[in-house]
Amino acid sequence: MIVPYAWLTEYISGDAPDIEHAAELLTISGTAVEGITQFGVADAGGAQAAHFVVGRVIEFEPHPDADKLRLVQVDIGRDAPQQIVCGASNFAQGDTVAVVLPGGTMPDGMQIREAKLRGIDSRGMMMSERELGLSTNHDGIMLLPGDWTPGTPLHGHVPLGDQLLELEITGNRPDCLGVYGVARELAVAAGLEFAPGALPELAPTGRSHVSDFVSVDVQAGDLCPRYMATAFTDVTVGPSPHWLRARLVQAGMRSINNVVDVTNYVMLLTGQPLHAFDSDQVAGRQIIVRRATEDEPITTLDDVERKLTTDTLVIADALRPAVIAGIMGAAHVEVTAETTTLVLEAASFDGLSVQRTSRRMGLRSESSSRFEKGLDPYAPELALRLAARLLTDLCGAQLVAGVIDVQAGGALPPLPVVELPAALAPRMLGIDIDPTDAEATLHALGYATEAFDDHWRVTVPHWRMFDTTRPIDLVEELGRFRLAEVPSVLPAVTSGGALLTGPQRLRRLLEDVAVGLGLHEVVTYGLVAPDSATSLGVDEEDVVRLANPMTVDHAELRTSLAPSHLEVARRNVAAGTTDVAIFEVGRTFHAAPDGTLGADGLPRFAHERDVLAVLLTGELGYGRWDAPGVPVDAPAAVGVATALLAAAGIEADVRALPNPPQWLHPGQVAQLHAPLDAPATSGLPAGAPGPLVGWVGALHPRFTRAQSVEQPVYVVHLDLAAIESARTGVATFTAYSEFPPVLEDIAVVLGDDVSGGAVLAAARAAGGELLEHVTVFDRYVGAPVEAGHHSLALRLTFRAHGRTLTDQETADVRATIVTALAERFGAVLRS
Amino acid sequence: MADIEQLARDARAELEAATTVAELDAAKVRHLGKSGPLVLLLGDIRNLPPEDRGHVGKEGNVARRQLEEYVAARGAELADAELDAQVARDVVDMTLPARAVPQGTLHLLTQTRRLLEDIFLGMGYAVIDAPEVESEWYGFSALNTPVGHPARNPTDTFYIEGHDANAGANDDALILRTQTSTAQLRTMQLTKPPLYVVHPGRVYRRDDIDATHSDMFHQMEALAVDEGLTLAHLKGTMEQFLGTLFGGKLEIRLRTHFFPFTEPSVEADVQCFNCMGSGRAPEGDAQGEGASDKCRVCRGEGWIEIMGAGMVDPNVFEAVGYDADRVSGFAFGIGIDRVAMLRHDFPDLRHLFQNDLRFVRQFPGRP
Repeated sequence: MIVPYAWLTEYISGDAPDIEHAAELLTISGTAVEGITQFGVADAGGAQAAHFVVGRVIEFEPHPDADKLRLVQVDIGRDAPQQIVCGASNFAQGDTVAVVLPGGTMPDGMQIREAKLRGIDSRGMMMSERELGLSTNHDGIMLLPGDWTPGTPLHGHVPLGDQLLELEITGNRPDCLGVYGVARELAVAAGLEFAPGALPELAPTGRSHVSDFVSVDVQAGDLCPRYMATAFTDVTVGPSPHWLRARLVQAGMRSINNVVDVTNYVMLLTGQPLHAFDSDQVAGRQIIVRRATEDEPITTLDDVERKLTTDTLVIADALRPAVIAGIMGAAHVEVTAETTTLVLEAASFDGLSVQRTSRRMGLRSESSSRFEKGLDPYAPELALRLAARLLTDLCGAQLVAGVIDVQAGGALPPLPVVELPAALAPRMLGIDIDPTDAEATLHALGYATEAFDDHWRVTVPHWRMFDTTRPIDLVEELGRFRLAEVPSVLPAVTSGGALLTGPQRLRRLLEDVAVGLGLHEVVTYGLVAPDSATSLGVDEEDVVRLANPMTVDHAELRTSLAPSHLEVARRNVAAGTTDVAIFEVGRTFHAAPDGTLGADGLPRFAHERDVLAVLLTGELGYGRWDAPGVPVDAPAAVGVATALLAAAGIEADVRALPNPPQWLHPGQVAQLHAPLDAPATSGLPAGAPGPLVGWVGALHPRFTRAQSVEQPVYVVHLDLAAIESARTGVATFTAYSEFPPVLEDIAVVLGDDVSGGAVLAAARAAGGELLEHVTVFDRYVGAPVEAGHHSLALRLTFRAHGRTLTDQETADVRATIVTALAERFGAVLRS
Repeated sequence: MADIEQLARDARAELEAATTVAELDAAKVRHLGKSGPLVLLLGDIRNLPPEDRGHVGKEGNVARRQLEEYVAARGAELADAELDAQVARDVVDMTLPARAVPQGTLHLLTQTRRLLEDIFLGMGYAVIDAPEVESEWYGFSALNTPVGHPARNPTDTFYIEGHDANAGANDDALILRTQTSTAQLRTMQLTKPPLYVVHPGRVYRRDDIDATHSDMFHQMEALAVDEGLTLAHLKGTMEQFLGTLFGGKLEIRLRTHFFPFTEPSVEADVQCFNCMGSGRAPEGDAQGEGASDKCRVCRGEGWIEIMGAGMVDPNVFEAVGYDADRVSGFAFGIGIDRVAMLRHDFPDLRHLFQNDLRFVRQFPGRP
């Protein structure tokens, strides 16, 4: 909200602080000042006051050398007339005009100097409204009321300039959506008195009664707690006086006519919007506050025909809606130049209803932006009385007798009364507040207090009745003007020593190891394009989608990090970085049925899993500058995956995944399992894989090419929770043998459908305790091995605790392994 | 019978003629190997007349030992010379590009998150985790954010398809959480006070993506609940935290603000770490084209708006069954992305999520 500072200070008695200091005081106490700007003539009430004066045209004659210029003698209150050359022609002898004298600085920064225009001396300028920033009117110069004395400073009649405070009003403070509210805040913060002046009484001057002009029927009291109306006769609609127009323009509004301007001025002042109807256009002289019917039409002031819905509150006449309540009026009851009788509405509407209607219709106004914050039902009376005085003063209006005042439930809601324990503010704020000072603050803010031994009974003023209802709210009132007094104290943290949890430490460990392996960490969006999940083969019902996405490419929650990482690869490859080795610990989402609980027993609304995802493409490490590099291949990807798992203490059991989802390379995917003796394992048969902790593989070339990535791309996916539960706790020492190992090599012929991982696992299971280690050291295809088969050479490492193995023992274990492989895979020992 | 002296002289001559370890080894094999004449002679000694055996054996063995000693000494000498020659040849220009031993980087957000976590771990706080998909109850109602608050509106908050009936006014509707404060509720539901925790996490808002906005960003929430906590403890904690984060003793300025879940609520400004609050560009700051004498970090304000905070609202305590008459608490939230931008001096939030490796690699990591 914009508040002209000089306007604001009119309601503060005593010397108001300078605007910078005021801005700081307001900002600290809760009315954040976002900017200070100059409007109109700078320093208009100070150094510039003498340069902008009232003038009166004594006489004029045509410029001898220029058809369109006039040579004007202007009375500016001095002995001699001031000679000014002027291009306008909309004035006559005796007119009162606005003059800027040499030495003046215009709002646009132009310096006024004595000059010669076509050879004639000109000492100043007669100004148009546009030149003063009062309107866009530049048709001619401003003509001023004839009773203004020549030579008097213009600023005494019209605020020529002001400094504007740009304020951020928080949602809890609709009272600060008016100049009064902000002035009260500043007065309290500066230790001055808020002095709005006495509220004018309603003083009827007409003979008629309001009931002669309008009746009010509130049918939707739930949305309209209060509806006040009165009427005026003998209204002369015309332009507003200059001071009023200047205030409106400075506050960011346009001047319409004197009637509308008064309602807007009072709104700017109090925060309470008003609405004026042309009484003669109100059909049936009836005002009905009701919900609209479905598709009921209204043509609003902006000349747009709109259709209403049944939850829209309208102010209707006997025939049709006349106002969308609190938002915008209809054209047909608009105040025009022909209007002579007025009905003035001052009402209170349900904020939420106004907010919803405003949002649904995409229609916002100064009025709706105030009502939607929830205005109090006492304010309409204040606004009505101020407006009545101004309409009487400025529009020649006669106020009729009587005021209509319909209150839902027959009464206004009572003002809150709050019991504030004296000890509460110090207990929450950590400062001592003198009880007298505390009361003084509350009184200055408009609260009434009654002191008891250990508490105050506080009555809340109407403009804070929705915001301040509890003791803690009053604590804030006391605290917000004393924030600078709050000391810095460190609490004695009593919750015990802190350590990252196991999963948190695992995450850090894996991140660090990934970095050590040469991977760069990325952070990608959690929201992805629609159908990302289904294109990865995720079931429709497992996907979590947004009901209201902002953009088409951020429409659902990711089920996998792979598509985002492929996009990162694509961008980097396109930018010339062809070697991309990245990782991310990120969250994936799958739909969870209603009633799902987490391990902590609290509800979960989706299955959220933290995943370590890796993407590798291009060359990965140890390349030489003078030799071609080695592109990432499947073993490299498996190496990265197993290294990460090894760092977590898991010796990966890598198993083939024969039928991977379509987006993966059908021949290059493997699953990663924890060993069978992992803690989470129970009752699985020997040789079976342990718990699944992730997978590694190549993306299908069709999938990567769709993203314009031509080079092979490998990904690793590790489930952190699965790893955490498969990890042993604190590692404990295992004694190792002091005796030498026995190495033996065997070669077996296997069908090509048998995977090495399964063979190793089976060998491990069959080898038992004496088999310390088994690995593959050769894989051979070709004669004499028959087609569809290959020869796999295994190196077996045997060792026993506490003794040297005998030849017989190793031969027996070896035979057991060979037998197991023969039975399981049809393996044939090569001699 | 061969003349031992002659055999020894011949052998010696050939051994001395060797100029390499290999030649020496060959000569050694010829003369001192199994079929060397001297060796053969000594091997045949039993066939000599008994009166010759003694002196032939003695002289032969002396000669052989002398020759072997010579071979050993000469061999060492030649090997040494050969090694020197080898080393002299094996010159490598060590300044040429190395093999590309890979070294990765932690993302700035991870570095920053860890830094924030570590500061609070050092102060005795625990780090907690929380879900990102939440109900309106956790996201708003229990955080004292009433129906009708703008944040609850589907124009501001992402709702989950199929769970958005009566969105904005339905505790069971599902949302992507808009702030990490949801973790406050979950941790209080699980744990009795005293409680000192932080929660770094991801949040979502319906904002257009630009240099300073994103539909996804990262916050860290801090929550302390104990007997006797006051706004002064909040201020002291922020001062300790921000001083550690930005280095040095920095002043904190509290400004009254409004958050539904705290009362009183404040925004905290920290004295600018770049200009130390003067608002003027420190000496040595970039003075390129368009440079002004204003500090570029705080834009001349002297203060940096850094976080929202306040005393936990009694309604929040009530929602989780805490007794507001017995305990009090403070909470604050800080933008992790924003801290990263401030500390590492880059103006565009989007760098964090675009993942151009030329950006990522610039921050090798000293969190």
